[in-house]
Order: sequence, then C-alpha cells, then structure tokens
Amino acid sequence: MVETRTKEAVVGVLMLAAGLGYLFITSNLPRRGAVDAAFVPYVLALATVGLGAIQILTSLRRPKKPAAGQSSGAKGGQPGGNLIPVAKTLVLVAAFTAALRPLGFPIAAALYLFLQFVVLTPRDGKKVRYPFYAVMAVACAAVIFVTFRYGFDLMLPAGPLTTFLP
Amino acid sequence: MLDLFAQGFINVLAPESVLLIAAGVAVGIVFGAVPGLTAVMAVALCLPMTYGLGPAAGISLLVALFVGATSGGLISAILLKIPGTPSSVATTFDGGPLMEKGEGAKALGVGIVFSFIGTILSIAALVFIAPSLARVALSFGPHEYFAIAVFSLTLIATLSTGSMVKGIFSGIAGFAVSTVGIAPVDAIPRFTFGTVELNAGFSILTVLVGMFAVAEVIKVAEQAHSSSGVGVSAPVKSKVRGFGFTLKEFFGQIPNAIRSAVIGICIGILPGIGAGTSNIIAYIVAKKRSKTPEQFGKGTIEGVVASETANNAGIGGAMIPLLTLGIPGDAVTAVMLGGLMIHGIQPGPMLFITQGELVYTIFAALVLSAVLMLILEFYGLRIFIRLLAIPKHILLPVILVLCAVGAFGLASRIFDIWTILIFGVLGYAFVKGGIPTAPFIIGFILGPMAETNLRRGLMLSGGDFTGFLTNPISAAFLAVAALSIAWQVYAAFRPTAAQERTDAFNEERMEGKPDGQEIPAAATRSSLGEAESAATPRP
Repeated sequence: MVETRTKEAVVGVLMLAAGLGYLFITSNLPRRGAVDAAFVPYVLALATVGLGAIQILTSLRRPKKPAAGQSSGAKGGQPGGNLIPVAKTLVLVAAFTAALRPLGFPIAAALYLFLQFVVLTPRDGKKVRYPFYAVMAVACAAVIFVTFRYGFDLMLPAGPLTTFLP
Repeated sequence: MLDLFAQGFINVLAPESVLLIAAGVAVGIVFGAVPGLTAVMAVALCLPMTYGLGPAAGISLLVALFVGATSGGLISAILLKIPGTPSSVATTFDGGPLMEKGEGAKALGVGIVFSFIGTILSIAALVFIAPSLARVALSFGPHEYFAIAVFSLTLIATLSTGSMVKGIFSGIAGFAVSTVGIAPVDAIPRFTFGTVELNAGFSILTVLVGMFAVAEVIKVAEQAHSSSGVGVSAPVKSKVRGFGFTLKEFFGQIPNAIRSAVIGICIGILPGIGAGTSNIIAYIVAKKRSKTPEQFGKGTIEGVVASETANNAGIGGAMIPLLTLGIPGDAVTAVMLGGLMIHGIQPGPMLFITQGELVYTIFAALVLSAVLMLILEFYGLRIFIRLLAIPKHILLPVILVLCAVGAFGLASRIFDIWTILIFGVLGYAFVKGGIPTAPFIIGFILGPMAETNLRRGLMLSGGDFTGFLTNPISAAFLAVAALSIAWQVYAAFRPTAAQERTDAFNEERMEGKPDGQEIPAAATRSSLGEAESAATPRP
C-alpha cells in the first residue's frame, strides 16, 4: 500500500513535471510581441508549475499516517488493482489500431474483441468460453462493419477483404 | 402565426413524415447513446439521404436526428458512466451514482422526461422570442465572449470535488491540450512537432471518448482479476412504473428545470458554445442553488435534471441564430445549414417572410420529434435497463470498437483512434491520481474560446487590456468571475455545515464498507476527495 502522503507528493511532482515540460516546449515557440501565440501557453505553464508546487507542499504538510477508518488506497484516487490486464488491454487497443489498415476493420476488430473478452473475463472460477467469445467477436465486428460501411457510407478500411466486397 | 403553425403540423403529421421523423429520432437516440457517435455525425452521415426528399421532409429528418441524438447521450451516461455525447458529460456525475445505487431506471426516467421538457421550452423560445434573442446574441463581440469564457472557467473549482488544486490543474491541463494546433489570429503552429494531423488540434470527441470510455475499459481491466471482479453492473429494478419517479419528485424539480432550460437556451444561442458547455454550467448552478449540494456527485436527480434539461434546451437555442440570422450556433446546426442550402433555402431574417410555412414546418417537426423521443425512450427504458445484464467484459470492448469507429469517422484517419488511446491513458492516470476529469473537459472546450477572443479583443482595443473592463457586459462577467473565485477560495478554507455533514456521511460510509469491497468510482472520486480535503490542515 502506498502511503497517502507519498502518493499525493508523487502526484504533485508529476503535476510540476507536466508544467515544466509544457513551459519548456512553450519557450521554443516564436515570439511576436507581448500577447502572441505563446502568451496563453506561458500563462498556463506558469500556473501549472505553481499548482504542482502547491500540491507538493500541501502533501508534505499532511500527517504521515492515514486517519482512522480511512484506507490509504482511497485517499487520492481509485484503489489499486491488477496492472497486468491493464497492460494487456493497452497493448490490445494499440495493436487493434495499428492493424486497422493492414488487416482491415472486420479482421482487426474480431481479433481485438476476442482477445479483449478473454482478458477482461473475471477470474472467479468460471471457464473462459472461447467458442462463444469467438462467435460474438466475429458477429459484432461484422454487424458494425456492415452497418457503417453500407448503412452510413463510412468507408471503414476492409484490408484484404476489399476484393471480396461489393 | 397560428395558421402557419397549423399548416406546419399538417405537413409533418402526414404518415410518411411521421415515419421519417420516428426513424430519425430512433437513429439519433442510437447515435447519442453510443459513445463516440455524436449528433454531428448522425446529421452529417444522414445528410445525403435528404437529397431525394423535399425541403420540409429533409429538414424534418435532420431535426429529428438532432433531437434524438442530444437526448440519447443520457443512456450511456447513466448506465455506463460514459457520456454518449459531449452534451451529457454532467449527466454522468449523478446518473452514474444513481445507477450504482440501483436507481438507474429512475435516473433514466428523469433524464428522458426533462430532456423532453428542455426541448419543448427551447422550441417555445424559438417560436416566440427568436428574433429579439438572436439580435442580443449578435451584439456580443470578442470582449463579451472572452469574459463569458473566463467566468465559465472560474466555475471549474465547483466541479473540483475534493482537492481544489487538482481540479484547477485539471482545467488548466484541458486548456493546455486545446492549445495544440494552429494558433488563433497569427496562425503559428503550436506543439505539433511537424505532425500534420495535429495542425487542427484534438477533436472534442476523441478527448471525451478517451477520457471517459477508454479510461473506463482500463479501470474494468484493472479490476478484472481481483476478488471483486467486474461482472455485470449494479442491480437495477427491472419492473418500472411509469418513468420511475413520483409526481412529488417531478414538481420539486420544476424550478431547477426552468433555470437549466434558460441556461441551455441562452448558451445555445451564442455561436460557438453549445450543449457541451451548457450541461456543465447548468449542473454547477443547480449545485450552488440546491439545499443539499453535498448530495451532488453521490446520486441526486437534481444533477440529472439540470444537465438533461439544459442540453436539450440547447436545441432550440442553437436553431435561433440559424433560422433568424443564418448563423449556425454549433457544429450540428452548421451541418443543418448545409442541408438547408442544398435544398435552396437561405436562412436569415427574410426566411420567416418568404418561407413562413417551411419555418413553421420545422417548428412542428421539432415538437413532433420531442414527443416521439419521449415515447420511444419511454418504451426503450425497459430495453436500456436490460443492457445492464450484459457482462461488462463483453459490453465494454464492443463499445470501445464503436468509439474507434466514431473517431475514424471524424476524418477517416487512424490517427484519431491513436488519440483516443492516449487520452484514455491520461484519463486513467487522472483517476489514479485523484484528479477530476470534468474540469479537463470544460477547460478543453472553453480554452480556445477564451484565447481566441482575448486575442481578437486586444486587436480591437489596440493591445489595451482595459477594453475588457470598459465594455459593460464584459466588465460585469469579469466582476462576477472575480467574485466567484473569491467566494470559492473563501469557501475552501472555511468548513461549512454542509462540509461537516459530508464528512460525517463519509465516515459512516467508510465504517459501513467491509474491507476489500469496491467503492463505486464516481462516489470514490467525490466522497473520498472530500475526506481528503477534510484531512488537510486548515488555517
């Protein structure tokens, strides 16, 4: 369990880092007077840096131990969970996006849906229903593709299936 | 006028028109309900279908899509805590917690009925006071717009449940993200790093879908292998009487609804600000005026009423400048302007004189669309609730694919799908860091308006900042903004009776929760944030 004070301080450091990063890229913008394209970004960057500093100071003024009756994971955000399915989900969404052009929407979406169903299935002793997931994935991908491509003329990429489509 | 109205109703009550409008409302509801698909997309994708129809039928179809899509956003906002459209962001704040308390049907019923009321009130405004309202809106210049944007941005702190510092940071981060792209006035590319796709900046749709929908999928993934699992959503009463709420509750919300409708209409009229802003402003105002502000964010129908009345009231509001001046108030009416011009109709002051019958046919189509929306959603209510029976591990990936389709549909670019993934990770990081996402959205929406009008205003006044203070409307808004900041800072450092009640509520809640039991995310954000502020030493 991460201690609340440390966690809040880390959030403050990240806010400060975001502000400093934004300030750095703003400083690379060309200047054409006092109020130009860089004016608002400078104001925002300085405000972000200030807020990051306040967040760090506020977190350091906190008592070290959490108050009675409060779990530390609940202080500054959502309680922690398993990060492996999170990483798998991010990889799957990225792979789906990358595969959209080469594989086409129907194949990429069907593969993504099948794998994502498997990853998100709760591990509560139940079996992962692979055949059901496969049918669901293919059916959903096909219905979405047909509806948007032929119903609304949205030219979703079809990949290798292009030659077989009307 | 009554003759024209009667003629308009005769036109739209023809069987083929009723069927067309019913189909438009139904498709609109689906587009509104699916995150990633919006009212703009519904109207734009269906625009070619109107080519073969007459002007009255074609515009009626577009109007029906607009009404259906604006209201449909409440379905996913309540059932999944993912706003279907930008105009239903604030609906998630209380709709989600109501659903988690098992009162999803009530939240949906309230949303549907007050969407209808908001639409009808805005149509009344459109019919009776359109020209004078449009003239007032047209007199607003950069100074006024800048002041309105600044005033609205100062309300961000109100949305910052818990740490005000994090809330303001979130709003500024949203504003900062909106600065990506070609700068206003001098057209300098900012933070594009040579990427052509970034020249136009990020679309509100990709930001919204990423911050809410993708982040929700990631949150579900995080809990997928834990003991609590993801399973299906909270149990909801499957048998619903009427709209799921009492007459007493209905009448109790009338002042809130009227106030929110006025906000929705006024914001809808102003070109460039639409229902995406008005629902959040109406929510904030409802919270400030409420006798129980501490219940906001924990599941009160007041929040749903404010958001849904305001966003649907924006329909009539946005139509006012479109029909009376030929100026589209938002993206949907911009596409509708194209639809009118395709049929050889030039909106403007002369439209009411030269095409009076067509104008009143549009008004009648709006009324019929609102009625059909109420009927379709009333019967759909039972079906929507059944959607919750679908396990989240099946439902959310399908929604994510639909989000990707919506993002791709913006400009047929894979780049926009990458964008939703990036904002999804950012949204998840915000949740983990206890940073509220709503201020980010309002900062992103209002940021460009504030910056553009600041630059324009300074050009008009020769670089003199006092121009913003010598203009009476601008000065008034800036003064109210300053007072708002002062009040919020004062309130933050002075524990109120409401705060004490909230702290007591949170303590009871914490004591009542068994270890390891998952606390609903929305409730966590608000109640735990308040617990955090209570733990912070006060001077």
